[in-house]
Amino acid sequence: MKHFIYLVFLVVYIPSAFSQQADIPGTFKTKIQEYRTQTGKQILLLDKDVSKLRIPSSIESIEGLPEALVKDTDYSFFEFQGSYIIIYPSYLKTRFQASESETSAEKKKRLYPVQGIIKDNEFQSNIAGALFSIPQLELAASTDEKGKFELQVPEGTYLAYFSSMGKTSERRIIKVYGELSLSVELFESINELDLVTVSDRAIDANVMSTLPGAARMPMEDLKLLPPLLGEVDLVKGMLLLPGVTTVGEGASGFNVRGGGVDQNLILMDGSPVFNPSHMFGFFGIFNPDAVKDAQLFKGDVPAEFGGRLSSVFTISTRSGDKEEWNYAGGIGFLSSRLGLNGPIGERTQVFASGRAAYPNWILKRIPNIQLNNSKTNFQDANLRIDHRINDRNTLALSLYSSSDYFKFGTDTAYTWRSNLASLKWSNSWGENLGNEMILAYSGYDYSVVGEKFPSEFEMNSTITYFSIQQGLEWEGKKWEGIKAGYQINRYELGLGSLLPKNSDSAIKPVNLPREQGLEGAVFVEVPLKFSENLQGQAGLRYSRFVALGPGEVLVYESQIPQKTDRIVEILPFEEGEVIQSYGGLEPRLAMRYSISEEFSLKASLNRNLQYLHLLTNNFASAPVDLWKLSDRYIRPQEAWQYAIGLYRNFKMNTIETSLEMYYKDMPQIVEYRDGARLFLNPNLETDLIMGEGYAYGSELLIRKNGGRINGWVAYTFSRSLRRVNSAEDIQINRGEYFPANWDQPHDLTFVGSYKPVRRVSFNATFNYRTGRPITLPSGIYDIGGNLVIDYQERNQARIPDYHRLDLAMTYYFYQKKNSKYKSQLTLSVYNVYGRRNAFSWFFQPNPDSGIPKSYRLAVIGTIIPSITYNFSIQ
Amino acid sequence: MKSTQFFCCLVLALLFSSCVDEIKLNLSKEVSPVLVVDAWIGPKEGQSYVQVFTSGAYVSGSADIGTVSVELVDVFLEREDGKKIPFKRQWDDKYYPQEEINPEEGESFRLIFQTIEGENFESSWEKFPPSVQVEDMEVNAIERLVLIPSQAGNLLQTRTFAEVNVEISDPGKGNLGYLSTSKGISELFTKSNFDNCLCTCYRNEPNLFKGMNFQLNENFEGRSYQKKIGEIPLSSFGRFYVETTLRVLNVFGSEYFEQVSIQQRNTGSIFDPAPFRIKGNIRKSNGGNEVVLGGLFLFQETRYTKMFSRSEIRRQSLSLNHYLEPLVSVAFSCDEYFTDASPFKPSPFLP
Repeated sequence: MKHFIYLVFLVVYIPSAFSQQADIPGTFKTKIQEYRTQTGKQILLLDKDVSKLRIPSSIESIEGLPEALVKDTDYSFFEFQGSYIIIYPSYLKTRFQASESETSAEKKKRLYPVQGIIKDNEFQSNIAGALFSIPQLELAASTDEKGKFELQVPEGTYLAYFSSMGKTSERRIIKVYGELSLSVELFESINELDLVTVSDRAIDANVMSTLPGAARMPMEDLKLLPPLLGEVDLVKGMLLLPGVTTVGEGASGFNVRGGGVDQNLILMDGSPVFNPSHMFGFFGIFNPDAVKDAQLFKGDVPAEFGGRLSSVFTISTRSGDKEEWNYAGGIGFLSSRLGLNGPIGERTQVFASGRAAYPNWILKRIPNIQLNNSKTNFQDANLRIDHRINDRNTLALSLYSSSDYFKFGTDTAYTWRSNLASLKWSNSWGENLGNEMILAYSGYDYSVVGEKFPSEFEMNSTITYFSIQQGLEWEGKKWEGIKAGYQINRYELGLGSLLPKNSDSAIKPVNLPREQGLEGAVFVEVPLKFSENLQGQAGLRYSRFVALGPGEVLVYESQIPQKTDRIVEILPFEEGEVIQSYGGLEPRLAMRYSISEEFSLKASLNRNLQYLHLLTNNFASAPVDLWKLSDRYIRPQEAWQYAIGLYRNFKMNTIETSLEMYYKDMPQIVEYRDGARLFLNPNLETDLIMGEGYAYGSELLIRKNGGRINGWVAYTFSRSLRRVNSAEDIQINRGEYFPANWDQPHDLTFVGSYKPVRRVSFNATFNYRTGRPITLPSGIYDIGGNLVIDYQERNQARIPDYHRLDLAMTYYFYQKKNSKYKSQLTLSVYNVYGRRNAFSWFFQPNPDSGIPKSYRLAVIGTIIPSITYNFSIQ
Repeated sequence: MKSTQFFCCLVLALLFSSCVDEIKLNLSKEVSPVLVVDAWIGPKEGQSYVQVFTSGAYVSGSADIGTVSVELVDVFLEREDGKKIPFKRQWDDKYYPQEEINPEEGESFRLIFQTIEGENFESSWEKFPPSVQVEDMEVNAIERLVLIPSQAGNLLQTRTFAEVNVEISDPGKGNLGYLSTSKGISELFTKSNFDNCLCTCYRNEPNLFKGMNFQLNENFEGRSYQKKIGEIPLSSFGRFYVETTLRVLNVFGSEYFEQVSIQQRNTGSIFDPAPFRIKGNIRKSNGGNEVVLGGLFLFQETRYTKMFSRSEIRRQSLSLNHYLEPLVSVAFSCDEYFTDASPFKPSPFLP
């Protein structure tokens, strides 16, 4: 502990001591802030120039600050787009004007396009909203969403500035005697410079975007969160947003606005992910090095997406660098990762990364019988190849593969594998029509291997998914932004097989027939612009699903419920024959009314249909749960969501607030009966039942962007209730509404990041949420000498509330400007005060004494420190 | 490097250890008793009885489940041909048949009774299951890590055990369930300098299988199957006598006890189903919606015994790392050390 405190002291104190020389005087800082607040304009200048400016002790009007700063100095300024004031040495302009006057008589200068891209040095991501300026000409351009800028510049040699929030401004001499293409990487700034630079994001996106309930999680933000076991995780990052929850540590997936984990469509480069977790959620399947960006649509889902009721979570992987090879990785005690990316020729870039976890060597050393006999590991790999065929056509191939192995104790081992592939062709048809076509594949299979004599077995289940989707977007001035397209998905599901593991096994083979289905959809989406203030988008999606043969449909007596002793007929279906068909319109509408530049009101409604269902009656969703298509008896799940939100930014958009409210009506959902047997059940319809439900809630978010201290506070109040009242003997909770497994009314999250000096950051997250519903015993009795516990109706009680604090400190090792090696060390502490948050309560008679006992299972019941060393060579 | 390993072990130990702990829960004030029927019908005399009571309150850690017997005014078992076999209350609050039932495989029965409050209940029709014989009882020596308590804390040690399995041939007549109980007598040796020492003891082992031992036949229907019924520790000398009783249950009984088995094996993890009420096959005769727990269970029963020599098992498994506990010295009798055993030879050990 003594060494740890010493280390903390060193990394906090020493860099601070050295960095003080770069501090900007307090009065200057105050005036800059005041100027920004009063005028909305941001002053941009180089760090080294601050000391040469005249910092006025008093000023008549704050609006005159730029003039006051350069008065009686060798500096000038110019204004760009009414938003930025760029201060620069006057000689740049005077010399230029002098040379200009000499040459102007000889010939008129030609204009050449100067285009370029501004990137973040650390994350290699493009910076939107960065500024490229040429003070001599008093010209400037800001970068677009892709970090690109373009400016017509007269021929000549200039000193160009490249600036962005939180980055050290760069100067570069550019010689414009033809078309010029630039690529600039900005280093992280020291200390206060973000006060005097521009924002690197669409600062009013919170207010001005038309989609309510859409959240973006850039990897830059994610890497600031305290990691568990040394790695940050995309899904865990999403869980910190309002409206996104999980039933507990160790559970796969996440719940959005009262929906089940299967109601989220997770797309990695267009391929659906059926299980987003490694090692039961301790790691996500998304290698943080390979992810470029992620976006969650939990309110209005754009019409191009469909097939799930609650949300769409899109993950874009990173492309290889176009200019040089980069290497990055991380080394931890339990897992490590390594990646490389770079160009192959002028038109092709490659990104490859791999990751592996290897905790077995430690498990062997723990004096615990169960753990000694346990094994677990996972591996995954990403490969992405981008190829530019010509100026109008590009191809992107994205591949992903992962496998997990988990064996707890001696008897049963679980393995699951995901394989994803997508090929995206982007091109332009003519000047105004953009086209994007994606061929996608997703394969998920798992097996459970039992090694207990004499019943050695292997159970398997598989999902195979193929899709083709095409989207067209009109980019002409009139009707700009209209999108239309189609999507065809083919599913093939192996509902389970049981095979003896060896010839001596007593297990009788069981092989349930496979399910097949086709899901097709067409969509159109139109941006609406009634005025500058009132805008939105309307979409319409029509989807249709057909369950296809071969197969057999059991026909039961007309009365419900279906029971195996009520089968009256078996209907056979040939290969490709339509067994059942469902479909419907899915309207989507989102509107935004901006009351002012910093205040808007948004509303949305949308309908979603879901034809693929995850069947689970466990405490929480597991990687080996069964997926099933709709069929003759299992109808599509359906939801209507209505949402409204208020969005208000303060202090020139540095503080964002939002309040969103939603109501989700689910007239059709899939529930299971008490005591259901879901795996290897050839008559699943006898254990499943259609129900209904509704969810509602409100989500408050207060977020501070930029500055030494940033982060957010999110509070969600939500309820999710369900009802099954189909027939007398298959009622649940006597036909009344009961809370869903993930119904956790109060959810409070705090995320904070403090960066006192350039090379050290401190991060903290705190989460509190109501304990999730459980079913408690109501009594106990003896049947034939065996104790049986009787339970209350479903989910009528709750386990204790959940709360947890995580802390992390990252030290960024010194990197020389010309050095290619960059590294950082992260110390993190998960569950700082070691709370034993209950994942579940369970009840059973003691095997030895027969006395009934109650137990609490805490998946992570203690404090977990970790250290990870991350590096990159670029 | 050692310190690194120590750190990693510490992290993992923290991560995975002590995830489960006991909580005290007393729900006696929150729930109301529910009617429970515990009715068993077997082929032999003395095997059949009906017991009706109300469920007790669930109190964690309490051995007293506090069920209350319910008095019935009329109880009978109805056969599918309309024959009714009356039951009568005995001293133990159970109702026993007043005549021989003599059920045959495939015959259907239902239970009908009336409580003293005048409420009528009946079960669904249940078919009598086929009989199944135990073909043999075999042992299979294995090694397993066990925790040995010591003054320096618990130590992980390898010990050998003999898994005891019975071989049964499933008749292949549909869904059946096998509910077994196993007990044994362990022969225990001590040593003494006293010539007339009673140095051999016999200890009753009332339950060789921890918890309920139930198995569905779904994976071995129509085939021979080895069902584990318990374990014998091989770290001592002496013989071991095993007696097992196997009950064959029909479809309802199988489904019911499969659910009880799932309930009792539940560890609260993501692989376990959330708890649920186990419904029986008893309903109110007038079709009321009142919940009745338990049910009518029809069964066939078979018993099998066998004596095993631990020395012989060890001799046949020499590849295993057997460990033998040293013989303990006593003065006159083995029960000075084995206080829960008796020096008097039980009948299976008599010549």
